[in-house]
Amino acid sequence: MVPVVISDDVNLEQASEATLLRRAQGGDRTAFAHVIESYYDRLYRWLYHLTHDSHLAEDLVQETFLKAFANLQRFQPDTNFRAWLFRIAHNNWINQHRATKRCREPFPDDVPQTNSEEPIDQLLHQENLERLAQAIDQLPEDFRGAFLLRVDEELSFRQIGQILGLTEETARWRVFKARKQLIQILNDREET
Amino acid sequence: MNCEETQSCLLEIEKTDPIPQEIEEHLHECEDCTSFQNRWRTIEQQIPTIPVPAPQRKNAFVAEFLSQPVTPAIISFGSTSEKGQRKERAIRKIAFALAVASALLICAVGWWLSDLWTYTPAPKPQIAEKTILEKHLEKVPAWKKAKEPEEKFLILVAETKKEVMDPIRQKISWEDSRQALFHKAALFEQMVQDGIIKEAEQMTSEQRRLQLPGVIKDLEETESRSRSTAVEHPELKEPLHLIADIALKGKKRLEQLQNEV
Repeated sequence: MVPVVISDDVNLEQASEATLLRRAQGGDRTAFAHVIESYYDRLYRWLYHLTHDSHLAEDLVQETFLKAFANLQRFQPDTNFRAWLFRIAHNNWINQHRATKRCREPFPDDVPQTNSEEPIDQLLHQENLERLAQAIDQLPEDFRGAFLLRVDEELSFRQIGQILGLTEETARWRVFKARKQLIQILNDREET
Repeated sequence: MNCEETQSCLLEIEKTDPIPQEIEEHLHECEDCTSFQNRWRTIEQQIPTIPVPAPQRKNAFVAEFLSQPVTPAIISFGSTSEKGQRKERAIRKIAFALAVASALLICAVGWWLSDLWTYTPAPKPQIAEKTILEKHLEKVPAWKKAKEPEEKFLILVAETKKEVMDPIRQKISWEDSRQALFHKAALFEQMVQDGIIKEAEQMTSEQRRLQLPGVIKDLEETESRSRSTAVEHPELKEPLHLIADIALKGKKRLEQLQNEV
């Protein structure tokens, strides 16, 4: 059993990720809760793009954090935590995918509304984003995962390779192919 | 360099990379490729802004994570090298073989001993994991003496007031970190759901009539205070809304119980 340590140190708010992880490795759940807070949304966003199922994406996010915490001793502090965390998430997604052979829902036609603009601009912008989201949805899964890690998360090809279990070159190739296909899909849509 | 080659190269170049001289030259001369480059830049800028439905269970998960210990699991992520994985698999095989051999040996010795000695010790009772509420109540002397639902109810109400309701009402310790508030929310949820409501359900109609209105009022106040404080302290919005939701849910259940009277 991992002991519950509720930290009374309010400076955790300002603590660096390395400090939080070191404390979490010592069993400090409050420190790890900060880590959860800072990665939850971005992990969810990536998994949502892969699954298009908000419940499933959240289940996978939560499973990822629980596994990460339970195995935090295995994480080497001098390595990239984000890549390690996303790798766990990716493995979870692959396992879940294999286990259920679930049919992925298409990206919803109406994406949630974004911020305030003039109504017409907003509509056009909204339409653009919808078109873009649907085009990304048409990319093969392998390409989509790598591409979003590059564009959304701005990870290096080396880190993308670590997450997806690929060489740096293969990761670079997948991102390149994804870009080419995306342009092609968008061009085709415009023509029709 | 033709347009196809240029556009292909543009897709390979990262935002931070310098554009090679020959592509630069082509872009100066070719409007199509320049507009392709601009279009691609816009697309890449738009992708991170594609909205997705907001996650619904983040706060509850953090609160639960803080309140319930997780048993560490041994999980392999395949992040070690191939050599490391082979070694790990070999160790597992040896460990498995040793475990089987030990089990067989124990069975054989046990069977032999059973003829000589029939005594078997009683299994040790398993100690269940304690919740944060149970841990908290362990520190309350009156709780150990309380036997009747009403007595327990009153202790729980007093503790809930002390730990959550009063600090919310008096805006005490707003220097509290978000995590400390999340922890308070987790404790509050257990106090209300697993404590106050559970005891109230076992109380008589007369006891409910006397005790519930005050608590309902307190929960109502906690909800509204939490929400108004969340506006003043947006950095604490999530845990405060969580507390407000717990208070609202608890209030509704107690009102139901009151109406059953």
